[in-house]
Amino acid sequence: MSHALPAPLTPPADAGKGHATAAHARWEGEGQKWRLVLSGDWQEGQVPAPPPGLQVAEGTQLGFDATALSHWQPPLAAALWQALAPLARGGVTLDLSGLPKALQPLLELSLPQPEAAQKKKPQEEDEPRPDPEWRKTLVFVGDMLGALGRLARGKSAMRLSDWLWQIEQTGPRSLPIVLLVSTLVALIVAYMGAEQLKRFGAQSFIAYLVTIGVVREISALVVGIVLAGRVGAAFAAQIGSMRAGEEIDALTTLGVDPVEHLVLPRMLALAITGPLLTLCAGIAGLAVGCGVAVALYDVPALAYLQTTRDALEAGDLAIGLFKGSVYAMLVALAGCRQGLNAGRSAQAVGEATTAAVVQAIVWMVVAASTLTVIFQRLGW
Amino acid sequence: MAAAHEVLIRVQDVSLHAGGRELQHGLTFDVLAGEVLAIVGASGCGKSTLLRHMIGLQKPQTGRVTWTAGGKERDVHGDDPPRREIGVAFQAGALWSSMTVGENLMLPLELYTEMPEAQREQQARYKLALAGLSDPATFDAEPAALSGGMRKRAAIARALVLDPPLLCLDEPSAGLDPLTSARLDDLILRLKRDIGTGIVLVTHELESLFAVADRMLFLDVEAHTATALGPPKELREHGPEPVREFLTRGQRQQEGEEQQDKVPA
Repeated sequence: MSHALPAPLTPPADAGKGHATAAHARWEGEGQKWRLVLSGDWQEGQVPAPPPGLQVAEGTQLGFDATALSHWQPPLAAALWQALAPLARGGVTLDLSGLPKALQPLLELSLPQPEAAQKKKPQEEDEPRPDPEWRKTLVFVGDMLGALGRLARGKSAMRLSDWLWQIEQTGPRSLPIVLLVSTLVALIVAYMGAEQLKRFGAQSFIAYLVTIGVVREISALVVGIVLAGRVGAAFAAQIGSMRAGEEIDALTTLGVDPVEHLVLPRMLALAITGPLLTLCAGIAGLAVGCGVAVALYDVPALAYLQTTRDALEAGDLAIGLFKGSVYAMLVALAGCRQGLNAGRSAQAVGEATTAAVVQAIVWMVVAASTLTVIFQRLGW
Repeated sequence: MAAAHEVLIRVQDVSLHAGGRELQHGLTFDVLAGEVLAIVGASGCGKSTLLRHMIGLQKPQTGRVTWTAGGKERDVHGDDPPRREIGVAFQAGALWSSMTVGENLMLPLELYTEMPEAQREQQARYKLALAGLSDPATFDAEPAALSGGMRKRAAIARALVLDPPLLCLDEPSAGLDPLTSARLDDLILRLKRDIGTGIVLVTHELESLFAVADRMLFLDVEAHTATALGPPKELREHGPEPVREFLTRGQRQQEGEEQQDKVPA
């Protein structure tokens, strides 16, 4: 769009030569009276910043001279707005009548109104620094322990139906994927271990490798990772969207602690399903180990089972189940914490979900290595 | 129920902040039993934020909000906040998605009363009917299965379920069809007149404002404080300039839209 102007009083020197003159803007004036002179064919370009002599204060007047402006394009409005808005906010009186007629209403609408500029400006304050992540986590764990204490005293707002529903969602519904992953991982462990042992003719020891590896470490880790992806993400998304939809505010106004009502049933559900899933994953892993040894490495089934019985100690089983419970708790903690601290938009819920999964897996790996070192040191 | 014209809640010198920016300062007003106080102002002036401060969800950086009915002053942000006494209907409804509509209404009764389950259900069904949701199927429906307007009415029913002396409604008629919106206005008027409920209403709808509000508090987005408090019709004629402009220009625009709607296609 191009706006033809009335014939300029002083035609550009090169008018009629077939090419446009370059756009130009300059500030003229002194003291409290200033004007901005625009000239040429304004296709694009910027208006220079006001000179230091122009005092941005009430009383200063600014006019415009566009008589030498042959044509202009919409970018001129944005360029003028950028230069003039700080002046208008500072109280400078702008007389737009010297500008092209089509440009005046655009600037009138976009520039701050003089009376608004003179009103009290809002007090800009430093944004309160958000709590660091570790602090949020500590506060959350404290709230959780408080809620557990109230539950123990029989004063909790947790509903039994919510707890049972969460057990169903996190346990039986996670079982197929836990079994699938644990069988495949146990298959890899058995196969690779057997290949190495075969070199020494020690295939019959596959049972030791598989039993201790699967029961003590692998089944718990598999359960933890599956739960992080399947359940931790769901917790963060559910609680995060409840927060975005003001459901958590509605609970708070009623005096219901969101931690008791939303977090406790999820946490306690995983406290039940975590070790049970670990047990199932362990059994599936042992069965696959047996299958690999018997079918591929000619280990007699009875001998394998006998070795497994010798290898399997109550301590290993207890450590495996303990680790499974710890990982499940970490998944619940990361999911619920991220959900409760999510922002109030759809994007924030998505970010909370991603953060819940990543955080759960990182915490789990840290916990796994810490626990392994501790148990080894203790000789367990 | 509080005595007529008793002060229910007192807001004293409260300032509102969002994102490190001051939205409003020096807000001081009372809400009386049996009146409808509308909080009005341009978008972004802090209406909903003020409501969140009044119901105890956000603590003001300065000033205080006190529940004064019942002869004892209780800080809304203190250890003994008036939870049962304030019913809140949020802008988007905020029905708990893990429960049915009926369970949503029965939870407050379960928490704050000794009613047996049958009576709780009766109360919940009655309050749903009061809010215009008399279809028995609504009681067992999941909130997600309801339309936006029905969710909003269910939220109002939930806010009413404990018969609170003060009801806070955040844009109750936004997104509702004109008929439902008018029914809602009737409901607000009857609650005020027949039961003596005090109602705080955040609204943009001028028609609804003139129909139900006894007083309005105008939050000025430029001056960052309340520049008018009084009956809407009086403020439209004699209020400060920004309030008159807000009330008259807004109303003309709404009337213009209605005229356009009447033009046959």
